[in-house]
Amino acid sequence: MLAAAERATAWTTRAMALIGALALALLMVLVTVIDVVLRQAGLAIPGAFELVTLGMRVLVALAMPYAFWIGGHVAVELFTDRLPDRLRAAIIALGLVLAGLVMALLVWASWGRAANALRRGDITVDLGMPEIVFWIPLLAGAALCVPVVALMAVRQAGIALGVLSPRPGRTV
Amino acid sequence: MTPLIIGILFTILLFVLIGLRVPVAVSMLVAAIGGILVIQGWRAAAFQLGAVPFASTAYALSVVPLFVLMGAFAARTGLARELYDAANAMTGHRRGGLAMGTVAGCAGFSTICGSSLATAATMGGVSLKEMARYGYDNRLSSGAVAAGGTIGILIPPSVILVIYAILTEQSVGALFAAGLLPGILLTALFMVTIWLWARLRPGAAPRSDRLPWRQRLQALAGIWAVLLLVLLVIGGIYTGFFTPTESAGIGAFGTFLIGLARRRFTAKVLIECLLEASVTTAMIFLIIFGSTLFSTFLTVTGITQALTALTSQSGLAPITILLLMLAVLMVLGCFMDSLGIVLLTVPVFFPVLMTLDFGMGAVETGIWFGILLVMTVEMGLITPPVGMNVFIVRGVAPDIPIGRIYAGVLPFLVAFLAAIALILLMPEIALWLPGLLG
Repeated sequence: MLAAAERATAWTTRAMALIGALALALLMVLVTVIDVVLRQAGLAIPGAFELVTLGMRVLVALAMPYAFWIGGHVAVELFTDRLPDRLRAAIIALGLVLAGLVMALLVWASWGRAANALRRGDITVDLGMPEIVFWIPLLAGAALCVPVVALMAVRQAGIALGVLSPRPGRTV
Repeated sequence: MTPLIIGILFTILLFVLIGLRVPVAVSMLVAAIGGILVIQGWRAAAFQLGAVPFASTAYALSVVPLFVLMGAFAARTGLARELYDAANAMTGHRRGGLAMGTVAGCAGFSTICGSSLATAATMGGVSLKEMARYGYDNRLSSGAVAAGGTIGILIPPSVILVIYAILTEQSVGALFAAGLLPGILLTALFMVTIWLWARLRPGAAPRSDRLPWRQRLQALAGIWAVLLLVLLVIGGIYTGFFTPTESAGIGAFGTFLIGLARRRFTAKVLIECLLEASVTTAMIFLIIFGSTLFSTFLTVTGITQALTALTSQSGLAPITILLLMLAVLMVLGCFMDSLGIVLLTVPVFFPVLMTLDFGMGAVETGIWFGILLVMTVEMGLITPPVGMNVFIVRGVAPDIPIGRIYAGVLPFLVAFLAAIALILLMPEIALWLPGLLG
């Protein structure tokens, strides 16, 4: 059951990160290049600035769960590395619970702002895009971090209790 | 309890959490939410937290993922090999020449890659085997790669300098210009270190074959692609064809085209590059999220104001206060990664620094401090116990024990300290070029 959930999480988070990467390639790199080239001819992509910002938000949000999943977020491992495996796993589990709570709070607090933008019908200056379009990826990515770190916390709790071992291919 | 005491307690909690392996970004968010919650209540904390995702993803920061992607592409284009060959063609026949070539190659690679870790990993992959083949002492070879990688952050483009510029509202172009000469100085001092090492222990650094001038020039001509890319990115910024933010997009696209022309990019490699850039970006931005809220926390608790008052009442000379700040950065550098330190300390240190008189304007002080800050935290990449560049070298060459790599970086640490001291004593090294470019 846990292993199946982990496989699904690995696949989903990677797929989301790849969608984020597409936003990086198309909305950030390509839009910038085309805009700079067109500018030399006295033209421009309308709202290039907004498209690049949107691309960055999609990228940041959609890659965040994958970064959690593969342990890509920077942490200081020096002090916990010397602890016995089970104690270390218990500490990591608590840290993951904290991370999950913080991400859930972030989604909840941001949702208030996003709902306001939706209610007021806020739009962007250049393209007239509804502002909620910028919020959706941020909220979706941050929200998905919650079950991802919860699943990681379950694995670590299992290691702490001595009933589970680290995920295949990982030492911690 | 006063807000200041609450602030100090939550700052202690921040370091406890970081020590307990909680991701740095999460630790910053927890301490900041907690502090604001206790002082201003739940509604204020939620209000500030809700502002974080938008405030931390403003257009100016789009330069970060783009430069990260450029670095990911650059590492797989084979350009590092040509830079190393060109540098070696000139220096390889001298004692220590291959190590000098490595350091020069690192400096060259820094011009297309804004990350120290990527520079160390890429140049290490190219140069360590070559030095082993000629019988180099592995302390010297691994030390040269680990230290050489740190040049990556000073020579533009540099992801950390961009983030510092945005945090402190300085010009990215000016900071890029300011990093160039200190980067060259550091490269030169590393080469002097290698020269001295080779003179004192000739067996550690044998000569390789001397190439005829024709071959040397051929090797030098091989780096045309790198030169073209640098001219495009840096030249475009200073001639006004595009902004520093846009230059990152142009650089990433240019590097992509080079990789494509050389048939280095299979679908698998491209996905690897894009995923790597995505994860690094997500990691960086979560820390920026933490730092954004932590800055608010510092204002709410009055820690920054208290520190400013404390420094003005202490009677300490501005340079003493600056040295104390650099000492704190150096200690943090032993445990934390560079970006985390910059995002954690700049909101505290910068306002304090701006109240001090160093006999130069506010903009110059900001630029000078930026270079000193970045150099000091980058030194942390090669200091024990957590020297990320040392770990990277170990990853590239698992047969070299970690203790030998640390022994190898020691002489380079001395050179690093000398470079920082020179820039402290002669701020013109950092300030001359930005002044010249206006």
